[in-house]
Amino acid sequence: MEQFGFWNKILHVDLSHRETRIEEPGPAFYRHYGGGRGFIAHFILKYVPEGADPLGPNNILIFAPGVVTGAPVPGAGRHSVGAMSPLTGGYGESESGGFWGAELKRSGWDAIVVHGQADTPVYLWINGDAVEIRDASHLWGKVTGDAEEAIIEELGDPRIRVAQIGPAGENLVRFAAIGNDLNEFASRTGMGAVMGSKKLKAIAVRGRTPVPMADQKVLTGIAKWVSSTLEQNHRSFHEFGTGDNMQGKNLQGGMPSLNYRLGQAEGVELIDARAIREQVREDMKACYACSVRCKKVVHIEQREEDARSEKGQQIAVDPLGRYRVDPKYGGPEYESLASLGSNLGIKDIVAVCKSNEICNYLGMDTISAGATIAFAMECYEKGLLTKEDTGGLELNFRDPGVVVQLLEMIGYRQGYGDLLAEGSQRVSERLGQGSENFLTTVKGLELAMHDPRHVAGMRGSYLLAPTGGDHMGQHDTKGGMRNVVGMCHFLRYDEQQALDILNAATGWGVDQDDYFELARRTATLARLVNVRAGFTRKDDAFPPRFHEDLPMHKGITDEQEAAIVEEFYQRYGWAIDTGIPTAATIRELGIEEDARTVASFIHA
Amino acid sequence: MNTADTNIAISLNLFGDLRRYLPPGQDGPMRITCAPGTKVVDLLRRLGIADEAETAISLNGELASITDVLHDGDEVVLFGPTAGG
Repeated sequence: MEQFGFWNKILHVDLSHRETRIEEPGPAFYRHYGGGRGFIAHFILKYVPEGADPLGPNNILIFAPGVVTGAPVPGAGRHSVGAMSPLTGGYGESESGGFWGAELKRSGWDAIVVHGQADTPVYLWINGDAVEIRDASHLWGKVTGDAEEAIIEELGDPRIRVAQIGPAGENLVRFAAIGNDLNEFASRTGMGAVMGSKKLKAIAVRGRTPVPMADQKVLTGIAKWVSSTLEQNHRSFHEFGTGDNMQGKNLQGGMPSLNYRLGQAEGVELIDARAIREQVREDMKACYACSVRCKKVVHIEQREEDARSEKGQQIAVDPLGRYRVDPKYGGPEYESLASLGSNLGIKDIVAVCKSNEICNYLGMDTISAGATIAFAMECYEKGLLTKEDTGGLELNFRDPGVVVQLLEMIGYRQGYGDLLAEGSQRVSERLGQGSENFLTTVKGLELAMHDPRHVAGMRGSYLLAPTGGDHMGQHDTKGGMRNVVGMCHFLRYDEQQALDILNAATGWGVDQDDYFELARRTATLARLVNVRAGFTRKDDAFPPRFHEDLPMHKGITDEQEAAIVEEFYQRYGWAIDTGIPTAATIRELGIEEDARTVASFIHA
Repeated sequence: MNTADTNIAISLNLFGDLRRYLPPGQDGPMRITCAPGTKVVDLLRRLGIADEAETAISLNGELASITDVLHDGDEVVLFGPTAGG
């Protein structure tokens, strides 16, 4: 049977025994699970035993593009990475753009499932069909930029794409990221720490075969539509990336400020995407097959004498002579501008860019890193933490120097950074003293930088995403499905266009109802992972901070929260009182086998 | 009295996703003339901005509502919702 959008080849790598095997699950598997979250939840339920330590040998790490990933159309450069999360203890997943996911598809593989743990550092080299587990002792300890350079030099092909961890992943920082192409990150829920626990430094990929598509003509038409309507549809992304609206969010009282307390921050205009463009930006870069080019590249030199490029262009200089920011690590997008800027009271654009670069070369999530520091700073301000606790560091809001210092300490688990590397919820459990009132987490994951008191539309995402405080709309059809099939959220495709892309890639001929069913199936699978991990309805809740009023917005009430949660349970066929998917829903979605290890939790 | 004499002129800038409503190549702020009594909502409709509820409106640096009336010399900035990333 002819197949499109996938190869029917999943690579399993057992690092404990240094073996690989190929799974050919058949076309029905792809139609049933789609990719991304569907693959991840399926493999977790199949292979990870209940109660397994996320950083132990029984966890698995899944690299899962979707059936659209690698299609020749803008937005098709996305892939997901998933495992049991060492940060939340539940379902872990994050998505990334760039080129790596499409390159993996072009190398003839639909996904990689990594089992076990290596006893010494290794990396994977996937050169089309050929898969090699190679020694990575010489790469261990290297920052991402140096490691990528060494791998490409060693393998001798500049077109190789590398996904990897930095020192933060090696040091099991619980919010460590997996970076690819140096400036793209699957950074949420600590997937980098899982990779580090497996002593897997990197996966280098080289592909040469385009993925077969069912209807190339439709995809070409949509790609042309994106490039010919750039001005109308993607102008802001093209010119600024994200973060062009921060002044508006601030004006409306919804900008995260001083650990989500104020809603307005002084000097937002000094660190937004406009300030970046005017002062420190060198370029904009694209992901695979995308004409939007929405990724910022910043370049700052420490000294005036270094601030002229080979082409004679003027490069930004740190006026205080403190930092150099290397353009190979890209630049900060909105979440990072807020988490490493406004939410810490920082309006120093050079320091924010430096903090972002540190997270990128050490391989850490900018959101959780910034939010954990913000939490610690509030504890310090309130006297719950003192200089004696922090080894002499004064954790004051508005101090960019201490943030830069702390990020390095977290990545290398030095001094007080060792505790902060556990994430804000574990720090709070250690501290006690009412510090839980300063947390900004749902299910242990620090919320992204869209205050749910201001942006009502984000409430469902934070409450019901299987990963916790995730802003990507994982819980709804549109957001969840894009992550499943491997399609970027920033492309302004309407629902019909998104379906057209999926159908042109796969030839499935799905309609909106099928699309919703796939979203519901994959969300339900991820929910089952959380049910088995001990999460209950009470975990679908905001922490006290978001029940407090902001100066311009009311706190979220228990009734509002319950209404969102119950409406969703009902729509998805999960029991209203427990949030556990019902037996009827599991049958209807055809996931009885996946649910086998969760059976004791499920009632008719 | 000539109507043109009574028209007011405002400065308008669009940030974020709303930039797509700017004429191609134009980077704002734009000068716009309109009739006295024009409200912010009239301006949004003239520009074709449909998502009124999600638009943050700055009128002379202060948060404004769509029912506010514009006056000669006003500086209006419209912001769309913030995307993450």
